[in-house]
Amino acid sequence: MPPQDEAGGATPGELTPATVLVVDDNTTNRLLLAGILRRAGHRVLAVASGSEALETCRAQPPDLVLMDVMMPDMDGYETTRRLKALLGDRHVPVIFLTAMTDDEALAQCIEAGGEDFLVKPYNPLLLQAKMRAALRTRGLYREMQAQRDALARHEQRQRGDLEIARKMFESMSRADRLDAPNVRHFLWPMEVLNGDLILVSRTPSGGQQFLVGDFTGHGLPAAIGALVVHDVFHAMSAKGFSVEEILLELNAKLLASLPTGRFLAVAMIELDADCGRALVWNGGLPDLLVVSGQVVRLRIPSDRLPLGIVAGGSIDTTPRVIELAEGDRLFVHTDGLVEASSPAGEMFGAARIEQSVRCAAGGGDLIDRLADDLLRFVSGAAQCDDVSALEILCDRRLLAAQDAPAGAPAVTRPPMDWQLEMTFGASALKHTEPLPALLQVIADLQGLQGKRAQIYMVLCELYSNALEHGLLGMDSALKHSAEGFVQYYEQRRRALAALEEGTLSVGFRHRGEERGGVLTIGVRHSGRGFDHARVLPGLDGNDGLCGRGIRLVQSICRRVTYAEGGRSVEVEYAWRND
Amino acid sequence: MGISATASQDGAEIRIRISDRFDFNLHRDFRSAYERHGGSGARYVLDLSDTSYLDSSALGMLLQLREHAGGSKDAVNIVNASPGIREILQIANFDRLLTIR
Repeated sequence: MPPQDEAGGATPGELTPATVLVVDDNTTNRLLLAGILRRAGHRVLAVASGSEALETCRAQPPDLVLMDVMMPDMDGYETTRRLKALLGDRHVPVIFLTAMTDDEALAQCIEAGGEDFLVKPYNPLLLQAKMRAALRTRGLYREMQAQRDALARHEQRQRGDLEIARKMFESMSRADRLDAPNVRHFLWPMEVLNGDLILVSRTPSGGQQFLVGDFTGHGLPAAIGALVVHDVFHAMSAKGFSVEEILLELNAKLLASLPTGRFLAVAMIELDADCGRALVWNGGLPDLLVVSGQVVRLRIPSDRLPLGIVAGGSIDTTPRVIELAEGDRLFVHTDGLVEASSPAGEMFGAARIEQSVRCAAGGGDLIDRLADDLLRFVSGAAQCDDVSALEILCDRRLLAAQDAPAGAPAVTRPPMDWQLEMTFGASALKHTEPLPALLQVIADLQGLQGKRAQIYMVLCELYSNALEHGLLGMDSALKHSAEGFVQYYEQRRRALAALEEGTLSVGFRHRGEERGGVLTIGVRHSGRGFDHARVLPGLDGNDGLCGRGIRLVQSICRRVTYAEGGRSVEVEYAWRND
Repeated sequence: MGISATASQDGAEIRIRISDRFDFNLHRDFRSAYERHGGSGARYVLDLSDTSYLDSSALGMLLQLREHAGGSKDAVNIVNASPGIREILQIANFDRLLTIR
């Protein structure tokens, strides 16, 4: 019968009975110890030498070893060292049996790998106590190893899941135009799934929209949020929605799906097809840089709240207008780049970033140079955040050379006859941008997806002219000076907010022909007209009333007719099934 | 290291001091500090004099505190923030959501 534990009950990790290996060259000692142990209920293996001990352990490792120090051939220390090597990962406690009592002896025991030592003559109670302590330690080791193994298995499973998720995420990103010729970037996630994202799309009017985002946290929650942002951005951008509208929709979706405390720091940029101006919005990212040559010409700091924190009514999604020259570069990055640290713990910092930016020559060299500088700086130190950077080159030809937007799969419909007109009052004009929705309707209806960009361009021209010159009474001359451009849009915003009355109608009439059709677009407004007979002929080679001008409309449409004192315009757009 | 919190006599103001790194590791302690001492309606003062580092998860924790405190701007006050910490709060425009003194 095993003796009762004085404290009552067995402590966790204790083994009663245990298998004890007794190693002692002296027969009497061996028998004495074996006796004590057997009476205590343990199973005993007794050997007379170190080599026998090793043999026994190879066959069947015991729970505990009582090791005599003084033995011929191999002493207790050497045997223990070899034993530990043999057992490897398995922890078997060794208690030395010795006649020496000094501190040096104890130190040697511990150094050889023993747990404790026992001095002759043996006190049975002390022997039991030391054994119990040693077995308790062994129990803890066992538990720790089991937990470690379970954790390793769990981690492996999770990594497998994340890898699958990453692949899914990648295949869903096909709508992305990160490969556009005027775009360079790098994305270095900290873990398998990236908490940063860079999205690029082509708008129906031939420009580009960009989104660079940084979710709080990393891993799975951030990646799931990124999927939502990705879908909303691409769906809306392909339909020609504005930066403001996309930001509002994103904010609403993120506010609804992210828990309190999680948000998306984001910057959005819209570059027009001319690369003459950009709309910029920064809510939570480090300064966006506009670089002309080797000078940082402009810094756009974060002056808005990140998305997903406050409701739409409290968020200002109005972007800033900046004008650009051919060859200018826009540079956007997340805070991971600023905070990347060297082995010494120093941060890369904004100063170094600007340094790299300034030293870079043109042609996409900035991103390569920055990547090199960063890698050299961190030189192997652990990465603690996702690092992302985007460079946009304002080059009109590069932009135009791109393929048309992928968009929705082409739907063909037989040419049909139909007509539609919508009239907007002042309140509608103030609060909505109706063109994307309208374009969506007519493109879907007649299957004109492939002609979308052109029709949209024409629509935009006619609509902006009617709204800005006709109803808001603005003077486009302001738009053509360098500083005037920014002022123009500020004026437009104010004038639109103050608009009290007036109407603007957009009408479509479609006549189907044998293998195509003619779409007649009419725009009418109730405001100020202009002497079209006098003004229009003089527009040769000029930018025109706004944007790319009436010249472009005239080149796309086969007829452009003004009437009602300049208050209405009608164009005919002919298309054929290719 | 970590968080220390004290409540005023009448319980109307809770002062929380955060030392060194304000990051995700303090998540649980931070939450129990404000939940234990006060509810919504109390005023929270966060003393960041010893805080040298603050990351985006800390910003998230500030938002959670703000929600707990009832959501108004003067419910959460940040005092003694270093210039570096201020800058982080500035970039995120958190001065619109909390009071930073």
